[in-house]
Amino acid sequence: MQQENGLRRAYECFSRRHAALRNELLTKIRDGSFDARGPIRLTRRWPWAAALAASLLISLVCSAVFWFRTPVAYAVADIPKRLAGCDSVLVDGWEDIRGVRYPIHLYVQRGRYLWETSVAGVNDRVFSGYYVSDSEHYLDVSDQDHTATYGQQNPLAFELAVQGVLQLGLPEKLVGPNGSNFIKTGESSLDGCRINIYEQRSGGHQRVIWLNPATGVPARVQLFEPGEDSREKQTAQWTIATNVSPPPDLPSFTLPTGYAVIRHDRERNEAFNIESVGGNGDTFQVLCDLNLEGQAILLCWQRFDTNRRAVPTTQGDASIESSSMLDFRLANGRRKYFAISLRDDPWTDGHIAHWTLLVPENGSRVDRAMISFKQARGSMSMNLLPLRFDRTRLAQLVLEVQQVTMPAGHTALNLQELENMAQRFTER
Amino acid sequence: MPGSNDAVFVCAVLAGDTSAYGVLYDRYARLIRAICNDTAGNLFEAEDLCQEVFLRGFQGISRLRDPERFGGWLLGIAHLTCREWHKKVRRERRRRRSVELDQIAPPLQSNAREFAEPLLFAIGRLPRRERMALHLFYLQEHPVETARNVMGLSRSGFYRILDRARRRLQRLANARSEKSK
Repeated sequence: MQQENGLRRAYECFSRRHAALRNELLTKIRDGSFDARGPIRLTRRWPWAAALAASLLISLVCSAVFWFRTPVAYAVADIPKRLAGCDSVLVDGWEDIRGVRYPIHLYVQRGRYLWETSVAGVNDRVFSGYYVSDSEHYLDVSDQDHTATYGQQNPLAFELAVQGVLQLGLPEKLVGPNGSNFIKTGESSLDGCRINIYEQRSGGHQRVIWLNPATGVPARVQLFEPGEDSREKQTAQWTIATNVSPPPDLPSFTLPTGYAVIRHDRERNEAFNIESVGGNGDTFQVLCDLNLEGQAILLCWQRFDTNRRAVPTTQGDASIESSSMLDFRLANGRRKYFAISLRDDPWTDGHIAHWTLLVPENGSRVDRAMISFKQARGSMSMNLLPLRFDRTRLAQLVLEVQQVTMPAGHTALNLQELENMAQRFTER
Repeated sequence: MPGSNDAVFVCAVLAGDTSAYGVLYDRYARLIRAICNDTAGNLFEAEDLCQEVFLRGFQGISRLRDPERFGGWLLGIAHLTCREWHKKVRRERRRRRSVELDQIAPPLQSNAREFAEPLLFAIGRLPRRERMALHLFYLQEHPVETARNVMGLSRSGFYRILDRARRRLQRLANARSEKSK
């Protein structure tokens, strides 16, 4: 009887986290966000036949490529790379909110300007606003609380924000969170340019990209969703121009009249654009993540419990939240990253800023990462999208970002030291 | 009844209903986790392997000739996935031996054995069929039906192996307690 009870208790561990794991699996299946590694072969009777077939196929493809060479066409998958390489991007268009089309503008110029308008529906009302910034000043105007916040900009915050828009925000806005399953449906012309049209359909929603094959960047993007009368209803349209001068209606830093004015100069510790995920008070935040030329990710993060009366204040407490408690994986969830703890710095509100170097377990190139937290009452996960910079700037940035959280008298690790550390893991 | 109507859900999955795969997951995931735990000896790794097995199952479900045999087919995938994992771990251990990395980073499997109950460890030492009988009995709602499906056993055959497994487990537990004295 004792053995029976013991066995039942021991087997309970296999039901732990069952619901969370089930959701995780079904989400992956629905999103198609797993490696297309193919089903495992249960029989391996004819390996030579498979090898022969593969070599025949390869030679067939090679000769086809040789004899029927076509001009290189930029695909939708290349759009993020093309946008990240632009010096400036202008987006004009509209978005439909509750049957009303609101104008949308975005202009970003590397090292010079960032201008974004915003529209948001809150309960029954729709609020608009805009944000304009250069490397020295910023102005944030909100119709929701009728405020205009302005002040000195932090140059590092500006640079990270501009790169965030060019490398992450804009590609996701134009291509969508899932950039796959686009099908070329036709060709057209727009303003005298030849255009390839790509469509993506998902759950009744449709995204149409008018791609300029000469630049590899969309010239127009349209969104559609099912309407009430079973007809498709267009919900957004954006026109995109790249490498253009600032538009004439680019707002100045002059304070608009009729708004409550707030002055706030951005300090050094506001340099990071913080991304958060959390539940039940447990909050995980990414402060900064840089792609070290595909070899590793330099990550700064913090984790705290908002329900706790006492938040960690010392280095001793920080060890409770070490990176070994987290699970870092490649974006497809299959392979892990080695998490090398670099330093724990005392940070704002008594939290600890943890610096971690992530190195892919199998020596593959770094692109995106997924962090998950296994907890007693479930799990959370977050995608990590590290920013890329050219090597010269990256070497400076690696030091600059560490100095944001670093107490006086400490020395930051330079790019070479971090790469050497990553190299040791890659060579295993 | 599990096993007997897996085909309905397999057909639904093939027709594009991914939630049907959730039902199959509910039926077999615990068992697959237990099988993976026998190989990995670490519940976290077993959970990951189990997800891998179900992803591979989903990718290959259209090749399943007899939808009624889904359970046995999935167990085949689980065994092969575990074997691949084991090979990979052995390969990595050989590579790691010469490098002293622990000074920099915590070991990869810091959670290993955290959940490895002594009983589960002892079960892992049983012969494969006896281990499977225990897994089925404690994790499947209708163990005999599933056993018939995946092990090709009759009702009496299943209970005979289960009984043998329990007695062997008891002997292992007794030997262990005597050793500790």
